[in-house]
Amino acid sequence: MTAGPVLRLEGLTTSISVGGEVRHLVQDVTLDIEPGEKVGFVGESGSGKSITMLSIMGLLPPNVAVTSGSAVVAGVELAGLAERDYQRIRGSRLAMVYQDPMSALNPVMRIGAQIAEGLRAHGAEGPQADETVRRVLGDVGIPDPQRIAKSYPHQLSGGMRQRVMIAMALAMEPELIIFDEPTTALDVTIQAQILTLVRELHAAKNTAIVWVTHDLALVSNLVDRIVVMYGGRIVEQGPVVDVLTSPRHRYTAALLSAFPERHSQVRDRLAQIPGGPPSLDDVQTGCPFRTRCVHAIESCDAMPAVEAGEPSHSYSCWVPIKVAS
Amino acid sequence: MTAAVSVRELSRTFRRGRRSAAVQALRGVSLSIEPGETLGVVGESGCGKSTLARLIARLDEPTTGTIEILGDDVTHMHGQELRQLRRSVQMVFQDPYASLNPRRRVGTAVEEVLKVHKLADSPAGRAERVDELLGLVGLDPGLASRYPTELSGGQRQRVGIARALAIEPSIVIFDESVSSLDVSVQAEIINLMVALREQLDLTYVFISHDLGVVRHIADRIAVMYVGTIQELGTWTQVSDDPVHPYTRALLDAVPHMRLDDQAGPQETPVLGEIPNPADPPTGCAFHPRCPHATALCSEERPALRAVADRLVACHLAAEFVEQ
Repeated sequence: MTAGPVLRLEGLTTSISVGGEVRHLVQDVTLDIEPGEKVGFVGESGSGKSITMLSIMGLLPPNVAVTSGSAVVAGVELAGLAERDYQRIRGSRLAMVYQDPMSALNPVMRIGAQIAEGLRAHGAEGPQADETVRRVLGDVGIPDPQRIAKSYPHQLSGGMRQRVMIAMALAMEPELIIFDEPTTALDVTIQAQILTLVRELHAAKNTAIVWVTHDLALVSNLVDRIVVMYGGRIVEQGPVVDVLTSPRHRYTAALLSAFPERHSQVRDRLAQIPGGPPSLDDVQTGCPFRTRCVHAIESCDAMPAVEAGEPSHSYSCWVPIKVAS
Repeated sequence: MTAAVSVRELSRTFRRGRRSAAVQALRGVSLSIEPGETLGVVGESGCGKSTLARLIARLDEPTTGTIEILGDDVTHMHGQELRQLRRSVQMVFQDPYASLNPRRRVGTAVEEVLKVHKLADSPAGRAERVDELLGLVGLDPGLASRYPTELSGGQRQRVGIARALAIEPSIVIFDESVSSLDVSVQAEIINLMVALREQLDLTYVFISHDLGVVRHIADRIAVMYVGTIQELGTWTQVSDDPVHPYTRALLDAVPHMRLDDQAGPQETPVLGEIPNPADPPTGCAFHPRCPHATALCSEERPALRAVADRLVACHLAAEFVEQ
């Protein structure tokens, strides 16, 4: 295994070109993910969290492209990488589990054949591939791997299909697996089972994990570090409990207070964030949250620098919340 | 006092052709809702919560059982009578993108309701009422000339609420109405719902898979599983002190914010899969996943009985309360 981070993003900027005009979907994203680390990417619709992941996977739609910065996985620069070379990395070093397994799986292909297809593309021989298929299906807690390998996706429940997706991601033992809202479409008791499975797999294999979600509570039970995105930028990141108990960025704090309190005996009005998230037509300089932020000052028209608070806790805000010392 | 909604032994079976098994979406549900009350209904896929909502709104007809709205039996109403009923019961759906016509301006969409129900007779009167309704749900009347695609998700859901309120119903059913919204927008819609309930004296049925949201808005909560009610009690009883093993499993599965480094992650609450409503388990629907299940649980379906000041459908409920 290569030394150093499994993923290094430096100033990653991904843009869309609409009618000759270039608009940024993700701006200046910089971060490292160390081997075996579990990182949660949190943000609302349009925050850029999924586009960041698709940029890393090299799966951006035709009119969207990485326009500056770099993404390095296991020592290989991904920005500008030829599709042929990308295919060698996808699956073997880097894998992704999507929100909706029904649209990610081929409906007319048996489960076993779909997993084996990827293995063969990366050079596995027949019997060896079949053996791996049975092993990984067992690893993800599928009761009868022999039978499930012969099933079609529609014959499985949503939870089972998501287990199959995870098995597929694990098949080639990548260094990093990206989970993009993998439990959003599942019922809450099934979501809890998938969460436990991923936690157990991580304990056994120590694969680095990126978990993308809009659910702060969910991800707090899985990851070590949280990255909060808003309007295409990372606004705050740090250890889970630090970020959740003493957020420094005004957006993180506003988001936390908008959640219905799950233990309170009084039911006050929920805290609202005025206005809506920025759209592509908005001016893309300065802090993306400033138009909705009740604490915004003149300086907020320029993008604030990244401040390091506590060790490994950083944020970009001109008027951060002060920490009681 | 006459109940706003009263349903008794309500069942709904869907048949899809002769060869496939019938789906028993609802299997004998009884409950009543007092005027001004908010009943929350929670449950996972296939529990029958949306079927129950559609039956109360009489968008669907039950296979067996009765539905009374404000004291009137509406179980098999049709035609003109049913149209009259719509004036009392309105529904707000999950997806404001799908429930608004994309080619119709917001003002027209609200005005349409007034026309259909022949409320406000002159165009000027309708225009005035549209402004009033948009104001009521916190929208700038200037938005009346916009198309749904020009609005944010939250604004669109406000239009959905304005349309439901246009005919001054006394009962509003929300079916997953905040589920597709971002947290910051969800908060503002929930606040609006609470404010309108006080202002207009409304009775709500609030259907959701999200116990955190239901807990915030409901007076009483019904927990459903595979077409039946498992537990029905006040919001604090059900969400803080549940008796039924399924309610407990559901609560344990809801992720809690981890605010302490020492606290380990939540444990897996319950194993197994949600049963297929076309082939529900015998006895208690939850018995195959229940850690406490006995032989009786697989043989006899438990009735919804009063235990610890609420209703619970569990053979072992009394034992759980004693512990």
